[in-house]
This record gives sequence, structure tokens and C-alpha cells, in this order.
Amino acid sequence: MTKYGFLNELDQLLSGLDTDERKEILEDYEEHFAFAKRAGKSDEEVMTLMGMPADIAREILENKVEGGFFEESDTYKLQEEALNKQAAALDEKAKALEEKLAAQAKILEEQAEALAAQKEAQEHTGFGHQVGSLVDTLTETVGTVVESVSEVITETFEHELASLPENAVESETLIQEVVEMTGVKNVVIKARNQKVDIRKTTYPTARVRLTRGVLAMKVENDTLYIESREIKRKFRISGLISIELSAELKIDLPEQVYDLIQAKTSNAKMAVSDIELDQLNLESSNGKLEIHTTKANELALQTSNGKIEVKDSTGHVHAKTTNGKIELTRIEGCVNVKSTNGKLEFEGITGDIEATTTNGKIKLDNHIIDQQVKMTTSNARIEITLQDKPEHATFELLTSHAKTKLFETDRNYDVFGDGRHQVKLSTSHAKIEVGLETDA
Amino acid sequence: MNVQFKKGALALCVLAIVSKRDCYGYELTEKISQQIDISEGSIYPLLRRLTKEAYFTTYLVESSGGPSRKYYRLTEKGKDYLEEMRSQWLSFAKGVNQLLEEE
Repeated sequence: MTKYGFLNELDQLLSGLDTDERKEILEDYEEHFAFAKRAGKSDEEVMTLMGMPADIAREILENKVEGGFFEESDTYKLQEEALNKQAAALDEKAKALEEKLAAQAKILEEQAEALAAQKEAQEHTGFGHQVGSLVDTLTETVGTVVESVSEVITETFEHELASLPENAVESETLIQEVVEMTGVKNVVIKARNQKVDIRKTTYPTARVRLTRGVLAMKVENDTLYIESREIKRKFRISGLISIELSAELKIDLPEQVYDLIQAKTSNAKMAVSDIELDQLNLESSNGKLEIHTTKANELALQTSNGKIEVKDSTGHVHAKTTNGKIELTRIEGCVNVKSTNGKLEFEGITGDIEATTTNGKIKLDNHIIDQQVKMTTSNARIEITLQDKPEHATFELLTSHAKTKLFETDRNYDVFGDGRHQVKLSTSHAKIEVGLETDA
Repeated sequence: MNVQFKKGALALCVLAIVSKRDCYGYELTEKISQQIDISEGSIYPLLRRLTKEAYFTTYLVESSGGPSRKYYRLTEKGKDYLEEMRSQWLSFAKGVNQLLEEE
């Protein structure tokens, strides 16, 4: 670790303190480094004598609570106040959610009533009874899709970096490292405000490049850990605004079947292509996720305010975003997808489809329906276009205040063959259309 | 060694050194680490705590060409505290020594 790495780590660990105090503490240590240098000691020597940043930080933070007859009570008071504020905010959120749920329940009730009326009117047509159960199943659908998606995603992101690599390299220009990958089955990546790009290489070793910043790596057991972050120039430049240039972490992995690849970044895009593995976990915030020609068993993808795009890939796709579009094209496998305020677009999906969004259109272009399909949105259209009519499927289309179109009819329920593939589509205030490509 | 015990002893050393003359942080770590094996990084949190408890005051001295030095000076309150700790330590050490030398 370099001196800056040391100071930076200490700074991070003390992020709970206010800026002035943190600055003072760091200045003490900088002064120490400066004097030691004049005495002919290298930064490495100084750091060895100094102890770990984590221990120093702990001591400072412990002192903060136990020491100081005057500060003590204030510290506690501030902590308590902050906690109270958090609790109040959570209460408010809970209340808002409750209200939202109550409103949704009311809408569904109204729909149920409307359907009951419809059912009465249609009793003699023979499929009125089907409509009644439709409401129940669709209500259920909404609940289970939301739950299953968030469960998978929180579960898979639970294992964090156990310990951080300490051999950090810092540079204003390209850092390039080669890693021996014999026996490595897992790759765990953590970046901050940096683009992450993972792809296959034909070389037997992995190549890790960071255009600029701080890069640390280690191989432990069968896992390669990579951590990168931006250079912070906050020392001794008070009054100046430092501009962070965007940096990119590029990871070329030798061809093999990995057990797990997990990558986390923030405010930046992540891309994965041509990788074969069991489990892929990607998490970004405010950034796009892009997966191409990747073969996995499970793909857990999560971002916010960003698009998720998966193309020409295999595996069970779990994707979750807010305020972002989700686009899945030519996927061999099932998909569970959730967005809010985002469009959902599917093309050529072979497995079951569960899709939930609000205020976003849902579109599916498939050759045929040969799977279970559940789609839920509100205030937006659902459109399914097929090349051939399904052999065995049951269609249930539910919308309010709008029309449904099912293969050139205005029906909202129909059975093909033995009806074994359930297609349940639900929205409100918008049209639902299921048709053939040739009709359009 | 017991952590709390070591911390107390280190505080006593720091107070004693500064009572003789004002010192800056690096000077203190050098002086102490010549005699006792410590993590040098832990001196600074200690200095902060003692300053916060008003046993020390600090002042900056700029030096030409080198880094500026933050000096620590013992206050009246600090002197009282040092005396109290010194007598506690001496009676404790005396007791331990006697027990060790007993046949």
C-alpha cells in the first residue's frame, strides 16, 4: 500500500466523523509521514510502525465515545437524533406504502366488481366463470413476481468481499496486471464510480487493466478479488474542486466455466460478454448493465436508474431496475423481470416469463407461445406478437377502461389445444393486444 | 498485555514527556518507541483524546522548508491529572515489585 492508500483508507474508515475533524486527523498523520521522510524513513517503514488504518480508526472512534467529558453526551445525543430521524423517515415510508397498497386493493376490488357484473351478463356464453377466477390469479401474480425477483436478488448479493486486498497500486495512467488463473473458479469485483467491462480472452492468464485510479487484487483459495476506486486528491487542496475523470476497469478472463462472477459498481456501466459460468451477479446503481453472448445458469442483475440489456445469452435471468428499460433478446431460459417506470421488451424467449412494471409498456415478440407467461403493468399497453398461433395455451387478458384484442377478436379469454401454457396479462387504462406478425 | 492497561501507561508516558517541555507528535512517537514497543499510529488518537479532555493545548509552529509542527503543551488541569496518574502508577508498581521480590 502507498502512503496515499493508507491515508485514503483511514479517511474512508472515518467517514462517520465530520469533515473538519477528519481533516485534522489526516493532517496529523501527513505531518508524521513528512517528518519520518526527513529522518530518512521510507513510507513503507513508517506504515509498518504505524499499524493498520483499521486499528487506528477504531481507536479514534472509541475515543470519540468514551473520552471527552463534554463531547460524550453530545455525541450520543447526535447519534440518537439521527436514529430518531431515520425511524421517522421509515415510518413515513411504511405509511406511504400502506396507502399505496390500499389504493391498489381498491382498484382491484373495483375491477372484481366490474368483472362480476360482466360475468352475470355473460353467464350463458359459457366462459363467464373463468373471468371470476381471473381476478384472483392476477392479483396473486403481481405479488409473487415482485417477491420472487427481490428475493433472488438480495440473496445473491449477500456475500461480500471478506477482506480487502492490501497491495493497492495507484496511478494517474494505465495500470495493467496479469493474473495466473489456475484453479480460480470465482471472480469478485468491486469498483467505485468506474465502468466495468468483463470479457473472454484466448490467453491462459487473466488481464486486468484500469485506465487510472487505485487497483488492488488478490487470489485467495479459488477466488480472484479485484477492487478499484478513483484517486481522491482531497489532501492539501482545500478550496479547489477536483474533477474526477471517468475511468474504466477492463477484465479479460481466460476461457473456462466459472462458478461465480460477481461485480459491483456505482454510477457507471457494466458490461459482460462471451463468458461461461454458473452464477453471474451484477449490481450497479445509476448505471446500465449489458450482457452479451453469455452462458450461465443464473443471471442476477440489479441497477437503478439504468437500462438492463441481455442479448444472445443462456440462463435464468433475474433483472431488477427502477426507472430503466429492460430489454431481453434471444434468451434461452426463464426470465423474471421487474422495473418501475420502465419499458419491458422481450424477443425470442424460450422459458417462462414473469414481468412486472408500472407505467411502462410490455412487449413480447416470440416465435410461438410454448411457456408460461405472466405480465403485469399499469397505465401502459401490453403487446404480444407471434409468428404462429400457440398449440396449447390459455389466454387471460385483464384490463380496465380499455379494449383487448386476442388474435383479431375482442375476447379476453381463449383456450388453444389442451391449454397447458397459461398466458396471463394484466394492465389498467390501456390496451392489451395479442396477435400474429402477419396480421400487423 | 491488557489493552486498557497499556493505554493508561502510554497516556502517562505522553503526559510525563510533555510536562518537561512542549513536544510535537512525531517527536513524541520517536521518543516513546525508543523505549517501548508501540504502534506509532495510536499516539495520535491518544493526543486527540487528551487534548479534548483539556489536559493539553496545541499550537502550530511553521518551519521554513519543512512541515509545520503541531506542539502540545500541558495545561494546569493536565498537570493535576499527571500527578494523580503518576502516584497511582508508582504505588501500583511498588506493590507489584514487592510481590515479585517476596520469597
